[in-house]
Amino acid sequence: MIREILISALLIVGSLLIFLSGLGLMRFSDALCRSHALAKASTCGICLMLAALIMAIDNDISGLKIFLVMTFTLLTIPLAGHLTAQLVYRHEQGRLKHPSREKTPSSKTR
Amino acid sequence: MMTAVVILTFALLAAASVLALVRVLIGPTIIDRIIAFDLVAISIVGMMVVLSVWWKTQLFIEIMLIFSLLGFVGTVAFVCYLHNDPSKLKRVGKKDDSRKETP
Repeated sequence: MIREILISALLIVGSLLIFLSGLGLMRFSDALCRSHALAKASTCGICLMLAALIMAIDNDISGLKIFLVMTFTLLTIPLAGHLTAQLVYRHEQGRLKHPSREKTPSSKTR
Repeated sequence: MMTAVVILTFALLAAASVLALVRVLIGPTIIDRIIAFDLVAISIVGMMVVLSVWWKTQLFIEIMLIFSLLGFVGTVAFVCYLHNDPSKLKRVGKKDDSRKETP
């Protein structure tokens, strides 16, 4: 009973985090902001859901496999976000929209 | 109770993937489309997790591993393609600027 409640809480919190990253992807204004919203929230959400799966399948070898999936997710999603953010930063440096970001030392062109 | 939780999580993940697909459709630059496709892959892995919790099966674990690997490799391939030839990215951005200025 306690285990079911814990699994349900982890699943709901994880899927809510993924939904919030989708909402941030929809609502934010800039490619850098969207990458920022997606990388952290979806990594945390998918790791919570995989922890719920570890609890649901009560098996050692499956737990190790799911731990492997979790480690891989923790490695790859921030790396993909970093790569896309680097691409945005390198190629759209002169024409970012917001005036608050023009104060960064990288925008010497304006 | 478990059925309600599964339905709720499926609804949230489907809503997230629908939002990401809308961003794929209307995304101003190509980088937004890459990021949104990454979110589609993540939410599909989440749906596999919910199905595994519901059916208490171990069949989907390797499929989850392979699918997250495929999403990452797709993102890296797109980034390398645009990194080696940045004129494509600039062309897309200029189109976006002209499209924004015309209305």
